[in-house]
Amino acid sequence: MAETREAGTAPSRLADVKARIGHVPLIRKSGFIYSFLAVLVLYAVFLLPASGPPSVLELVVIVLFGLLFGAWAVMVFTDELKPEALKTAAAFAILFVGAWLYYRYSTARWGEMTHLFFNLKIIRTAWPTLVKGFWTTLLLAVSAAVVSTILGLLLAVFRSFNNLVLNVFIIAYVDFFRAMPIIVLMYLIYYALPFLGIRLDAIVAGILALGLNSSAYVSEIFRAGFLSIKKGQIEAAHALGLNPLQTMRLVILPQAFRVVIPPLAGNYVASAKDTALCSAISIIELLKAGLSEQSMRASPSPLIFVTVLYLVMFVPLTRFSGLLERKMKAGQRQINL
Amino acid sequence: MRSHPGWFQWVRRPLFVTLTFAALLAYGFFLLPAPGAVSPGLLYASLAVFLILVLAWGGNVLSDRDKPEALKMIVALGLVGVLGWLFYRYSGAEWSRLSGFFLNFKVLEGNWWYLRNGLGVTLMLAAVSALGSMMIGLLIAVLRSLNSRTLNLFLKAYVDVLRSIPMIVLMVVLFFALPFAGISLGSILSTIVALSLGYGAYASESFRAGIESVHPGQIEAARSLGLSRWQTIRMIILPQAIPVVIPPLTGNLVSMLKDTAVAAVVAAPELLKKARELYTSKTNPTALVAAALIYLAVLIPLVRVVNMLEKRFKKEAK
Amino acid sequence: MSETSPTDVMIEVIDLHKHFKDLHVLKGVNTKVTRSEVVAIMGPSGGGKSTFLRCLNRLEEPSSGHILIEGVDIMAPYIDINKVRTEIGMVFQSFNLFPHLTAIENVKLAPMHVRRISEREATERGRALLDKVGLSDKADAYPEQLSGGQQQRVAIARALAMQPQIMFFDEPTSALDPEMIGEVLDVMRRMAGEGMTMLVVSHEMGFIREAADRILFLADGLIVEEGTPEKIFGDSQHARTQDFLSKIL
Repeated sequence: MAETREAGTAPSRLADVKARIGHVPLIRKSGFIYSFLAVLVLYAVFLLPASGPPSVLELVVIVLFGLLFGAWAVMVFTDELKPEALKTAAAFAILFVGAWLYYRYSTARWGEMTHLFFNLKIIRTAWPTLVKGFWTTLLLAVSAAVVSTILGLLLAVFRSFNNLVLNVFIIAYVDFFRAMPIIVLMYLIYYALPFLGIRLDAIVAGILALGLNSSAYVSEIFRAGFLSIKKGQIEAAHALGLNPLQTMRLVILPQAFRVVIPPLAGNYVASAKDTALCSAISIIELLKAGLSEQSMRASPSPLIFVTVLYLVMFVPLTRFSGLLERKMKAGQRQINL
Repeated sequence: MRSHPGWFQWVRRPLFVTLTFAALLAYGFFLLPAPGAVSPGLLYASLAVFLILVLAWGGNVLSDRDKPEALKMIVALGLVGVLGWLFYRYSGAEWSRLSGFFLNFKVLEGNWWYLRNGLGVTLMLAAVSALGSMMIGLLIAVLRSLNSRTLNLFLKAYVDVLRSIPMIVLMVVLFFALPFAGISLGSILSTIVALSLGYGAYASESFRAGIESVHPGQIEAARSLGLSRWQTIRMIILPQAIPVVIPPLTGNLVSMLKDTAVAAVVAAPELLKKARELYTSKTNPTALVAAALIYLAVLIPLVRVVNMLEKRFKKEAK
Repeated sequence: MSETSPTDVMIEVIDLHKHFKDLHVLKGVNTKVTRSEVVAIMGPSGGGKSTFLRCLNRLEEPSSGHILIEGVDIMAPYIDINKVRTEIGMVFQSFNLFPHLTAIENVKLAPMHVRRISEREATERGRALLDKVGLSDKADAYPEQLSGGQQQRVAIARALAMQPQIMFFDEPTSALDPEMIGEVLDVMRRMAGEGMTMLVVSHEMGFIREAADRILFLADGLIVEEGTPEKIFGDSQHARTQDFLSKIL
């Protein structure tokens, strides 16, 4: 039998681990967690000041309560062995306690609050303006998308000629419109250009600004799409006797299409979100409609409604375009194998 | 000469190119109406046709590998020249007013300090929000790595909502609607909160990608050596995640700088708002032009830096 | 079997079960491993070999059962599992070297930060170990500059730097080109000769026949058969074992 090292010498190095078995750290003991919770409840019942705006001393008491409660929640969340149900309860408890504290100590009057922020009657009267705003937003988004796609594609095609002179101009264009904030561009087009004699409708100015800005990104997306086609494919096409136009139509574009769709979708969604900026140059799109109704009726309900509408529109869209991008990355990995 | 089947061969022949060039020249000189001479519809139509033909002709020459480089240079310059000339002639601009109204920097004399204050506020807003968004993003990424199902639901909802809401809507709601609930943040705080919350969502996704870029096998190896969770994060994950995370974070910073201009809408005293005030008080748009140039001067180098960082860290991350 | 004193039983597995969602991967595994024993774990893929090994240092969380490492039940709640893992060195199929560190830095990382020895001592120990696996000239190379066989040997040195009592090998040569398998098996053979307690999941029949004291044949989540290499290869009792062996021998 082979010579065993350290046979029968020092005791197992895990002796101290063994000794500590059964020893549960204090903050992990169920007893501790639940009694801490009981202490917090007692604190809330007896020590928290009455409702209404707190003095400085009372504020310290409240903040201390909040911190202790937060510490309790952290103890629960970081313990792998605590049941998921307790962690769920802790998560909801944080929300409720936070909201309850705010409700109790702020100057806001909550009954009136719901009526204020979610006043259906006011929203109903504001409805026609809001609907018009929605259609304007849609018009802006679609027009900007069309403009940016045509411009972007043209720029990408001319960039692919690799001509030094053209490249200088195209790169300058792309740098310019990627660096320029859209809202500054809109101000320039709508407020400054008239002094040069170029007077554009607000909507045209908006579409122009959105389209020019987006076209810079679109051109880069198409350019990446063209570059993703391996040179060997183009050479093979030429060897087969296809002319450049046929090569573009039958070989390059179908493949570039697949590479280009996910980032393009993301770009269109981002551009659609940017239509909200048109409110700054007095276009009555959705955001401006909400704002003007808010000031007209002295109620934030239209604005809140508009915000909800934006979320309803864009959360699915953002998720969808994110899904596309992930599918493309996964697909690419398989191809490279 | 490369041989292509059929009609395409003819398109490349020098004769065809010269003839079509002559035709375009004729079109340009004789068939393009002067501005205002005919109805707008007819004008735009004939301009559009001319533009398409010019671009097609240019594309034909520039995409031909057999044409000499010198010729292509001249064609490129000519193309840009034609586009410029068209804009000059047909945009409706009264170019005489350029120096008086557009680039009249004398108007701004003595007022540059006003714009400079605006720039200072802009940079301050961006810096503070960058810090805030990185803290929020890191917090969210770390919380998500705890793998608690309910917590992840809340965090994912936060990230989804804040990535979908337009930044201007967020700023406007914080500034105009919140006061009805008794919370008056003021314009600067509204901007900082909006930017931090919004870009915090993007930052959290970047941090998550960085953490996930580390091969899980390495984490297993580290844990099996006896390294604690915290030691693994500090010595194995972080050093490898940081190169992955820096490009998107700096890209975020650039976007954030651009979004500070949106704060003009909620009356934050940043660059764009100051420029607007000068525009109104002097009835001269030079202030807006100056502000635009300042934005470009700051942002174009930053965009270049981001591009360079992307390239450098993509090599390292490999 | 001679009487084994308590400190000689390095690993004891009692009724180990592991579920992955609906899949019952380990269905009640029982075994003991004594000091200096070299145990080979064989079986068809999906039979649970890797899962079993990874449960023993809780890289996978067992669903139920008990695992005693040197007499310590590592399934006890709130146990300091990091301490337990310092006693078990693990070598992975895909090496898992830290790419941002050189070979010597890979090797001395854990001794410095877990065992808290000085940098000088850790570097000395590291260089000695790299020398032992035949890579003293590659101490300052990064993993991407090393071949597969060299990386795996660095991984073995890294695990040995913690001076563990037990070494686990999870298919250490399966990801290697054939000409590099030999150099890794040589290191493992030497370790077995020096009396290291080893658990090896592998298909390398030559190595197993020579170096293993016992073979566990794991299929469908259970130990179907176990015994010395002579017994398993020459005179196996179960149809399942015979079926598997006939396919690979």
